[in-house]
Amino acid sequence: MYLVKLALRPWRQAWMSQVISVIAVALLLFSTGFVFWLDQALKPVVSRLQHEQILTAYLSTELSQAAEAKTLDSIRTSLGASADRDLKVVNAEDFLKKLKVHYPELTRELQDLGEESLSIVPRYVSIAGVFSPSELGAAMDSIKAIPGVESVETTQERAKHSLSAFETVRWVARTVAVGLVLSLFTGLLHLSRMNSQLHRDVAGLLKNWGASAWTLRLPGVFSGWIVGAMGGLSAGMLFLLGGEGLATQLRALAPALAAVPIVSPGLSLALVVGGMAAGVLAGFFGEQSYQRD
Amino acid sequence: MVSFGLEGGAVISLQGVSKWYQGQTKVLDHVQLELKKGDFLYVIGGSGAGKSTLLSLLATEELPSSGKISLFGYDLATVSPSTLRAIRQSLGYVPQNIRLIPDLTVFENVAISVSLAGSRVLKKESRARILELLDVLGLAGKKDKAASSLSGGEAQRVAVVRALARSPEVLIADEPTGSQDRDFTWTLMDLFMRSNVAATTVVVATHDREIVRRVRKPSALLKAGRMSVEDGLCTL
Ligand SMILES: Nc1ncnc2c1ncn2[C@@H]1O[C@H](COP(=O)(O)OP(=O)(O)OP(=O)(O)O)[C@@H](O)[C@H]1O
Ligand SMILES: [Mg+2]
Repeated sequence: MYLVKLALRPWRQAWMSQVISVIAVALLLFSTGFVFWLDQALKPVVSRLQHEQILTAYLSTELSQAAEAKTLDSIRTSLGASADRDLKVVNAEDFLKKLKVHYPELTRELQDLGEESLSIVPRYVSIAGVFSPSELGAAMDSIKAIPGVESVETTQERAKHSLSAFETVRWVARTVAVGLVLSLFTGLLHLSRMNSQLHRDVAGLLKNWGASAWTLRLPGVFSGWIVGAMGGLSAGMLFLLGGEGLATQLRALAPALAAVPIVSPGLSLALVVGGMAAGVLAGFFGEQSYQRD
Repeated sequence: MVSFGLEGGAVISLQGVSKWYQGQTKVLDHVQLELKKGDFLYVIGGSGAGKSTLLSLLATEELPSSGKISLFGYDLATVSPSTLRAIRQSLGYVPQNIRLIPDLTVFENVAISVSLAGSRVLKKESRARILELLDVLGLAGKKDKAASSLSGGEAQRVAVVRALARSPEVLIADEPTGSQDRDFTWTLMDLFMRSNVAATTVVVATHDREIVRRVRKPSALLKAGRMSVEDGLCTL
């Protein structure tokens, strides 16, 4: 229709504003997409930290070989039949081996200690698995009560720290996303207010020929759609091209972030659609010239 | 086309219509006017007499400061928005300041007006009628030119085509021959007469006395906002 041609008027009369708006929309949408993705990407990380625990039961050093086997049995039975828990016994020899691998500079000192070293290094049972918070407490209590177990530790305390850090990042990301979406919409709304001034004359004319309010809004809606679509497409392209790199960078940041997923193409698509929708809505509500009598 | 079912009734009716702008004397002062379907009226008067003001009131561009204007039997002050739209769709208005849409071509300027008056998609007959009118007014070669590239006289003729092509029930033309040479002046008057013969109510504002002399029709004189009969036949 001819009204589409009118929608291009802002590109002739105020093209700088349109171009800058497209860039702004692209950057805002990209940032929104990024923080949204960050929030989503941290979800599996947080849930893993919350539920995947390692319980470590230190066995008393005086425990005899036979008593140790009994203690281990008791630990196994107290954990129940859950198959997804990985029970690993680390005896003194294993511990020393590990120590030598990880800290080769200690080899000498350990050799000097000889047989004595076996009696001072800890023996422990590590149980890795998914525990609910209540399960964890119960498991700790029951294992602690088993004779031969000196103390029980969990990674919960350690995880709490990073957990609250990641939770904070998620909340900040969500707040920033809301702020970005709001500023995106206000920006588009103001652009469309300005654009509607540019075809005020035409709106008055069309109105006097009997155009409906819907018809009068069309040029504004088209103008908004164009800016929103161009911004959305640019942001989507940025994500398609740079999304994988982004995930790789984030994963390298900390071991806990290894579970961060790559950016899905769905997000790029959502940005394009979101840009168009924001443009259309802003065009619809920003168009004021039709209100003139 | 909207049918207003007013056979025999007044298509245009003005009762005690006055118009003034902030802090000014009255531009129109108690104007009385009644036109039936198929009537033709010249509005004559010197510059600043209020001709354009009167015609813009008839074209529903503005409301009067006092008094009552009815079109097709509907009081414009109280009419519902949807009826107002229907009324506006049956009007053809040639404003004195022309007002073409510069972004569109000549043909598009006319077509958009026609499509707003009737079906959204331009019918074959409408297209043919637009092309015929453009041809009659020497604009056939300009139909795809941008409206902004036209001369004053050409733009004015396009404005007339824009109003006539929608086959209006009421045609309101404000100095439609103001920028035309004699030949085009008579061609335009001929088009108005043809449309009038086809039962369109026509109001033409002009200060060209020769037109009024040669194409004899009732005329009303505006002087300092007051209207008086110049040449009978119409009820004032
Ligand atoms: N929007 C307006 N605001 C203030 N004054 C106005 C406005 N429109 C018209 N006028 C005044 O009303 C008076 C009548 O103007 P109008 O345009 O109706 O005259 P006209 O008869 O059409 O004159 P012309 O033959 O020059 O076109 C003028 O004195 C003009 O200054
Ligand atoms: Mg005038």
